[in-house]
Amino acid sequence: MPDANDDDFRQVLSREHEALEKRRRRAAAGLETAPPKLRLALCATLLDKRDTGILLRALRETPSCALPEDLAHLRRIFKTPNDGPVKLLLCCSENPNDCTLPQGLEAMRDKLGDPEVIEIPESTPVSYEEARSWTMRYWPVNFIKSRAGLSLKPGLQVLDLTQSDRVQAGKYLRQVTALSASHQGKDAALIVEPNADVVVAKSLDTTTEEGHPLRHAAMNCINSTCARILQTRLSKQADAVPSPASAAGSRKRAKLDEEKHDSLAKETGDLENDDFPGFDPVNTYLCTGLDAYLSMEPCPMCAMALLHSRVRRVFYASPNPRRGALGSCARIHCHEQLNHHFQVFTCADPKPKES
Amino acid sequence: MRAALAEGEAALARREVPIGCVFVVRQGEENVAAEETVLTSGGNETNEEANATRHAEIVAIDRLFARVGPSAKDLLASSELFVTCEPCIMCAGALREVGVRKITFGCGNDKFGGCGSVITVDPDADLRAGLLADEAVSLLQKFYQRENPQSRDTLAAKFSAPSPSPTKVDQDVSADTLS
Ligand SMILES: [Zn+2]
Ligand SMILES: [Zn+2]
Repeated sequence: MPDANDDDFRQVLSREHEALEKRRRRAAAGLETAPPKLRLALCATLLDKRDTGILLRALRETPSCALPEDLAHLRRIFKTPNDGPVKLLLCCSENPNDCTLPQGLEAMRDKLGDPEVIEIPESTPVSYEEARSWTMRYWPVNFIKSRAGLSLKPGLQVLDLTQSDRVQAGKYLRQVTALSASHQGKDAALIVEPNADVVVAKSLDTTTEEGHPLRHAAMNCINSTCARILQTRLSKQADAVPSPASAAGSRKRAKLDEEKHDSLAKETGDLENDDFPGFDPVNTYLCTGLDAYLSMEPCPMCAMALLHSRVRRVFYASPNPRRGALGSCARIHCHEQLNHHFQVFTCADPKPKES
Repeated sequence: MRAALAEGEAALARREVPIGCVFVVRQGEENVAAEETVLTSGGNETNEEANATRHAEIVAIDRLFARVGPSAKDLLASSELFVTCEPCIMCAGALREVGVRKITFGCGNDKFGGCGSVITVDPDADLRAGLLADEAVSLLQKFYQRENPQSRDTLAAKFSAPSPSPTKVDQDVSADTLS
């Protein structure tokens, strides 16, 4: 059994987000990052440093000197090194040959040197390191943490797994890989309640056995989970009130799905019954709060089924370069247009499939 | 599409999101008075089953497999689908798995659509959009008005008005393409 420290996971982010994280890591390591997008601006030297306050107020109150919202990272003042002259950013500029003082600032003319056109970073820096390097090269910029990322919905953010998260994820990922390996490498899936630390459902791909092309491991596992939740809910209801006739059909199928699960649980020598300590099927909406572990990156059908089911996190062992929808061919879990997002992790360096 | 809408109506009566579908086999030449047989049909069962994957298309496919066994795959592969709303990404994936390429749908699905609205799951699918879309939308409106009156405004965002031409959905709107 590998050591818990071996459990290193890589979060699968959107392409855009991944590029941003890469840039952030490079900058933090002191490596060169792609140069910022530059734009033209007008600046002027302050003749007397004591006028700084007056000039800053004048710039604030002059509409033609206002900087657009997306340039909030730029500083107005540039104190040149070794106590050199102080320069002020007056306004954005469109014309490299136009050095006229901005309209409304005429009263300040005698406090400023001749305006000059310069290039300033239009891009927002993603780290302190990047801000520092741009400051030295172009014009002083601030690193503003709240602006440094993409505007991300909660489900799309980077999630740092805790040590206990890693231990748990490593345990179940090894379990699902072993389940796959002990069944001729068929895809396997687990759905886990993370707080109670219990397996809710366990499934294999049964497309061949059942002659049914939709019986992928993840679909089977979602069906088992929902069946178990429904089954418990219905039996609880039955205790209270006589069950409606409409529920009979779904109960029958729920029972079937559940039996399928139980036979696999028996086969793997790991019996789970209806009692999940710490897991409350009656109040669980779909798969909210549950984690899925897959031996193989899911196809679009399974990935979207997990999304519809509102799982919390998905961990998969091997990527599926041909049709994987959580990183390889698409990244459905972080598609901006979809209503639910979940975090996806895979092994930091995928090991070759165990045989 | 009338039969699919009827499945949608039935789903509405069960307090489900009213989306319905039929898989149809055509015999005889195209555009001639071909004989059409409904292979299988279904409506949403997500609430009843407490399972978010029980969409009309999946329900209909499962019904056929339950009835005829593995030979359902060959039957489906020669069938075409009529569904009131654009198949979601999951169902579009399922349709590709069972080899259904000819898909006609009513309204678009800007929230989950797997036939162009969000992503294109199967670039080889033969799509036709907008058939009886107004009726599909009004069916959905009935549901959201009854179940959740507050969300009426968001309905427009969920299910788009009929696409004027199917060419719109032929384009891949996403950077990610599934092949
Ligand atoms: Zn799948
Ligand atoms: Zn669907």
